Amino acid sequence: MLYRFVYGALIVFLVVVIERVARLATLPVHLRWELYPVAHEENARYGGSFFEHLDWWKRKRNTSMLGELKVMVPEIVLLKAVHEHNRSLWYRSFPFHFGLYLMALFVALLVGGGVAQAFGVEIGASAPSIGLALHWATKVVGFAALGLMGLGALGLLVRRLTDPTLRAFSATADYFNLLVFIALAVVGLVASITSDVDFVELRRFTQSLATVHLDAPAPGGWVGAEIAMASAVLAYIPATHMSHFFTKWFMYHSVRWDDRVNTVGSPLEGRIVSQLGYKVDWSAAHIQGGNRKSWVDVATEKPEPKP
Amino acid sequence: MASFTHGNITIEVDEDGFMAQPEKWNNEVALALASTEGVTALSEDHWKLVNYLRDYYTKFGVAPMIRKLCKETGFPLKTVYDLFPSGPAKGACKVAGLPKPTGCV
Amino acid sequence: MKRHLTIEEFSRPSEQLARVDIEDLIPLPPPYDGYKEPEWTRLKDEKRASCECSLDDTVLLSLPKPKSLREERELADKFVAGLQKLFTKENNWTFLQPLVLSMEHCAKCQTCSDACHVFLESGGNDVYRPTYRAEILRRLYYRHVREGGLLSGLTHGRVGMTWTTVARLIELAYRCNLCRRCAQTCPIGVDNALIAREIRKLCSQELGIAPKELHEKGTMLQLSVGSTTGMNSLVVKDNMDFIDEDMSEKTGVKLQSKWDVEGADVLLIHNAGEILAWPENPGAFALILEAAGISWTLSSELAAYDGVNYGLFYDDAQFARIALLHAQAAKKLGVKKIVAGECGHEHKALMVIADRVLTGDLNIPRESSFVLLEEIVNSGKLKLDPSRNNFPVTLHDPCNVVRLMGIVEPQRRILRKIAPQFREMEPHGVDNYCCGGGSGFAIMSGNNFAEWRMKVSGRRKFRQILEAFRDEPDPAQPKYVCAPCSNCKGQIRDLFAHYGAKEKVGLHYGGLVELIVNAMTDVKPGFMDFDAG
Repeated sequence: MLYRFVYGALIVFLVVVIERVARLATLPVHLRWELYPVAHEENARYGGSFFEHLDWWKRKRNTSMLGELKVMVPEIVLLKAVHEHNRSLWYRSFPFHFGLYLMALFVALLVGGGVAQAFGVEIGASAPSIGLALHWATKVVGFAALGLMGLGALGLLVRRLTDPTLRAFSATADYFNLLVFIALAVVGLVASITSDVDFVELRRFTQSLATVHLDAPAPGGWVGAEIAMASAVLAYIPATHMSHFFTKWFMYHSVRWDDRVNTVGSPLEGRIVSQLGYKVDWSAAHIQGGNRKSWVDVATEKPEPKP
Repeated sequence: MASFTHGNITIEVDEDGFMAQPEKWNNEVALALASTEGVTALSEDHWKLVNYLRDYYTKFGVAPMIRKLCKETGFPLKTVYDLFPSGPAKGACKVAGLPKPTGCV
Repeated sequence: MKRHLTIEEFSRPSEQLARVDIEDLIPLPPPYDGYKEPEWTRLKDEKRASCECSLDDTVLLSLPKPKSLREERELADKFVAGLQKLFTKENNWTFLQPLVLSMEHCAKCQTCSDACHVFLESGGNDVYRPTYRAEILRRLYYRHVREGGLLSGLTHGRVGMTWTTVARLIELAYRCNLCRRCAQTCPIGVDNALIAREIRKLCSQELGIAPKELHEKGTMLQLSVGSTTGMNSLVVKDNMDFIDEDMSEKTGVKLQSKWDVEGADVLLIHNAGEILAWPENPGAFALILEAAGISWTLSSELAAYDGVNYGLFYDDAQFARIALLHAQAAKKLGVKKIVAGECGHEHKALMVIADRVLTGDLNIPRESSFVLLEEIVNSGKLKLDPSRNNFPVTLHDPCNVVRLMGIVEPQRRILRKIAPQFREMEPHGVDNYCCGGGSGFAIMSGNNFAEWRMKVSGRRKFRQILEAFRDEPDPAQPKYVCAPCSNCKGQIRDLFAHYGAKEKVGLHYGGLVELIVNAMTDVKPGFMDFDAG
């Protein structure tokens, strides 16, 4: 039952992520709306763009992948923008997010350990080399992940409850979301401390999960509850604004840094031409689209001045 | 649309106090509009400026360039401000019954 | 006193939702440290009775109050219909992706509020948070577009869908300069300024509601007469003739502007407001281009002598119509490129936004005049004497050109060359603050809106200018704010007049080309005359 639940949650997670990515990726190409600095530009250092060059359209553009990485890595790992623009939030938000990253690493270590175990690798405090490393890595990462995630979420919740501005903007779900993470951390810590301090039980579970041994006995009690909760959270995240962990890619690459130039005969131009053929339904007097006119019709007609 | 009354005439003005219907302008209206600019009486110089603006507007449908106004009336800008404290565009044009200048001016 | 606003109360009728008390405003640096702003001119009672002005201390749109509950309902329903269209790809392919991304991912952390000059200078009034108007639209979106039903109240919060909501939201969309400084600081990448623009657009394209300065006297006038200033092609030519004459007299260099030259390299498009309000700017452009031997022309085609495109601020259809006229004029003349004059939004409209509107042979290369000017200054074709510009100079960065286009250094490199006392404001470049007149506010002053532009939205820029010249307290020493954008200049002019800054601090303002001409040794000295007007 627990195995099926975890698989199910994983499938829900993947389906929602894929659906959302597909929805965002298939939206029409929009008008340019970039915001400088654009990280892949030669002069990103001060926010310069290719427009700074005479006859820029004749010049070969040098865009830098490295430049993007230089912004993306500290942004993702350290939440640089929050650190720079909202320090007091960062003290709460960073542990929370870093805790989630560690959580992902923790799961990876458990799955990796489970697979290794299936191949006969012994893991434990008295195991040799790799087994010993896995044992300690999992233990340190696991407790750090649960601790940081819980403390961070608690910090965020307290802030949201005590700051009148944040409270004004918060919906029930915003408190609920943070409570969920706090509860998960508490259950996880209780489970680990009371019955699974070396994560042996969890690893045995991920081993069966990875090797699809559904008839293996599933953990019950606190550990079982921990697994069920974590799976439910996983399935829940992409359906909320927390999906920003992957949609942020679009916000940067499809909007802030999207400075692709439209050139004659390019595929981009082809997409624009077809979108200019979309029918317009805006009904103000100077448009009167009525689903009869295309954008080209609208753009090429002269609006009637008001009588 | 707001309106205001001065003496025995009522004038419709826009949110900035400019005439809503410039074609209804006459000398009495000018006096009434001048009162909103803190100008109580219109001297010969006032009228020279106002009439120039009026003629230009009737001909071209838009207010003249300020420098052109100065050059063709012979008044330095300072004098224009002396005559109409809020300046050529906001003061003199308003009294001459021109609509509020449009665009990035 | 300011008080905390909830989102829900936005939809509940009251006389005035938010107010900025003069005491809430942040004090200015010397010599304005003891200065107290005059109290707000209260909107007239008859105004309050007939128009929707229950948002804050001012009013821009003056929407007439509906006469019946039924009319209120109809208008609110129309807004919902528009909201739904805003999220269809057919009606809004132009901005759908950035809009959806910004709608669905805000964590409401309020980081962006501290980047907003309007919010900060208002003394932190909740109503001006970039998140406030966005949050209202978000809640309406989840309820009426995503059709979240009652559950959306729990997941995304509630706000009533009433006429009061709509009337206030339209008005509130015009309390944002669209400078997008907030978007720059968002840790997630949400753009709350875009949401302000999209609200404006929904109202214009569906309900036909937009400020008359932008629509009726803006884009509509430009499309019918040829310019937002009301100048038809005869008047503009006549005025340019006058400028040529005036400039020739003043500089001692004989000048003749070029009109409709087929096959010229450069089609220069000015913001036509320059011709009327700052004629020395187009005059200086002509003088520089002639002296540098550039093959250039102006166009007298409909709309092509006015680079303004207010559609950028509120309406995609009007935007496309005007962009098309600009491109068609260039195509007709067969020029190699269009060069945008000193106008920020013209730059962005023509070079960035229109880029995915103009296709085929209408996609003519478009360039910034700052870049061309740098090339000219570097070429050595002009004999320049920087000592003629030996007074303190600072540079204002028009948001549209800098943060939104990344043209940061060319104008600075010119200034470093020709203005020995050039100093930066803080912050500057892509982190600059808006002048407070952005997105067309500089041309709006009905009722007491000009007061709001001075006290609230323009205050940060004025503060920055004062700080930049703090080491030069003597008002007898003229100081120059170089603001290469017509709209910014209009706002800075009004700010200086409001604060009496010319008399009290010695502040002057103008464009970039004026400084270049002032440094030209072929020109009679004293082109820039700080004693005159």
